[in-house]
Amino acid sequence: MSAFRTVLVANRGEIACRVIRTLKRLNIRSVAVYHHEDRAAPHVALADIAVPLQGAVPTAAYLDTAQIIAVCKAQNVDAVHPGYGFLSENAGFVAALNDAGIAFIGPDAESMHLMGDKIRSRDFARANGVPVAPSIEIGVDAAGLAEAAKALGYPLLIKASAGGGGKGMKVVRNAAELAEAASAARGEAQRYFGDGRIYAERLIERPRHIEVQVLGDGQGNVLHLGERECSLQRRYQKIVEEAPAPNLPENLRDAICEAGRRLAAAARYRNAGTVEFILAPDGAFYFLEMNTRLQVEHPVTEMVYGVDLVECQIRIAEGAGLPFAQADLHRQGHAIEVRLCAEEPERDFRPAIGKVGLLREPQGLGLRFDGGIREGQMITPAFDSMLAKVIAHGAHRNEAAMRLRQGLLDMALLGVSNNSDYLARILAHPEFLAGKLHTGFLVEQAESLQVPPLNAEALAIASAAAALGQADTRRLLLDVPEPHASIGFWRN
Amino acid sequence: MRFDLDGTACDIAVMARRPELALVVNGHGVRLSELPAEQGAFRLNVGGQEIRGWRWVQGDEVHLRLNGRSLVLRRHDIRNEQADGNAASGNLHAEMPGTVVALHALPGREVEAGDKLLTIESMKLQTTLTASRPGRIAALHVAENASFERGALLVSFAEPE
Repeated sequence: MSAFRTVLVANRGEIACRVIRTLKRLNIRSVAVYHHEDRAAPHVALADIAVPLQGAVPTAAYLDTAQIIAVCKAQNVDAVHPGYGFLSENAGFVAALNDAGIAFIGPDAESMHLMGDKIRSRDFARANGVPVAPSIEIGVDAAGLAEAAKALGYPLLIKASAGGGGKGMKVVRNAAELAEAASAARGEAQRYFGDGRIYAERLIERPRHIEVQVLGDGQGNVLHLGERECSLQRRYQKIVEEAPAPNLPENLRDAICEAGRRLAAAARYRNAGTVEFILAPDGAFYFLEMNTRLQVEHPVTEMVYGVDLVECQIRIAEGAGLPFAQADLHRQGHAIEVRLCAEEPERDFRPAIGKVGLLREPQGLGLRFDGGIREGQMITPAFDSMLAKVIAHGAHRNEAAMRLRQGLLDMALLGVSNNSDYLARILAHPEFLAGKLHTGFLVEQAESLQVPPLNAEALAIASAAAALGQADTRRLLLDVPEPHASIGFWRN
Repeated sequence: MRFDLDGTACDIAVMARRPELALVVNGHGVRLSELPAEQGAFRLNVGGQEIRGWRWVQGDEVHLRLNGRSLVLRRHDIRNEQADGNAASGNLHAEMPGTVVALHALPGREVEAGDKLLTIESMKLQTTLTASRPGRIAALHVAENASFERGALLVSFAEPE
């Protein structure tokens, strides 16, 4: 294979912008695709060429394999970067690109097929000596389920085999809840993933979510870029991620990273990938799943290792092999990322829509802003609610947290409700700063993370600022009889 | 004049305009003057202390970024009073477009405040909407799997007898 000259980014939002920035730095011509609803989105303006996709449903356009391949052919595209989501884990898309002689910046269809299915990948992990949580498969036939569940031990967690993002997941505390939960989980799995297969594993209380970043060349050579802690989740979706994981004994860190590396090597994995683990309070860890793509939270790894993972993906896909050796990799300091989402934390994280009226990106030492929005853009329900990511690097964890919090406090995103203030409160929370993390943290700390009430002085200043900002109330405030009005003392 | 901040009414009275603006907001007095500021920003001198923030206005809504907090103040007018009336009726309108995942209530059924009415999905997230007051369900205006637009009437309550 030879170096790519033109790469199409089959995605939108912050990840499309992030990939295009690396393409520009590498002097590779970038092609963006977009649905009409996204015509004012930054990735369209940033790319060298932007091609509209036809279709009534915005998300469907970004999943339209035939249209995207037609754009590739028309634009002489050498390779496609899928970002995350959309077509990034679609083996059919990879095969179609192959047939068209276009490279896919990702794994081959076989490892995607192997790792994309939770039951299959768990069997593969178990066969390769990677620990897997005790589990049972739940067939359509309910016979024997109660006995098997009892043998496994309550509480249980039911999951969809094809699942992700918490969809189809149900906690079962006792036998009485089992049948109904299984049926509900199967229904959700069928609805979301078109695949009703489900399984149950023993629920681990107060678990941590630790994942390992790997890079493989497809020849069985795999290296790891350490772990990330992704335990802070709301509605089963990560919102704060960091590298390295805090309070993790070195031998346990090494064992987890090596397990992730070993699994990817066994699969002869090619591309950047992430092996996710659940870490129990007693130090036992279990394989959860492997994501065969770039992760949303990849920047924290980039910041502590000083690498560009998108560049690594491109070089591997070009056939240049791994860009460095394990011994070349040295972690420096600590990095934390938060996901800025259009939502209302005070109202159970309900998604929000609106217009990006004013945007002032955070700036400061060690700060990175991976954005996918710009002023004037409408945030609609058509797409995911994540707007941008803010990442901070520091010499140690507290410095990273302080820089990130200050960045959030200084930035402004007005016009659409978002979680920036909530994220800033997390970063100042004593339990967070102590690194006492687990996946139930945000629910457990919900009360102490509530927005504090405004005092009378702050309320008065806010009211004055509002009244001075709006034309007719401003007139009421400043409407002074002549001759004073002509002085214009209060006007800018 | 009155602004509404997350359900808190902020009543502003002007006490004096010179030498600086003296306002009383909900009984709390504040004296301030405006300072020049860049586009999108505001600066106030409040009792000798400089307060900076960001401001964006859309219709009767003023969006502020002040002391690391985002606030939305809504000019109180007739439209807001209509919304208040809607809350009293219990009728449930969609706050954003979405689809119906499941219906939990039946027409004619009595419900308590907080009872589940229906589960909707918007922006890939599911939310279960509940009754804001006790009463009898008059009608469900959407079916399972149906999609709806922002503002659509989802559930209506019978008039109290």
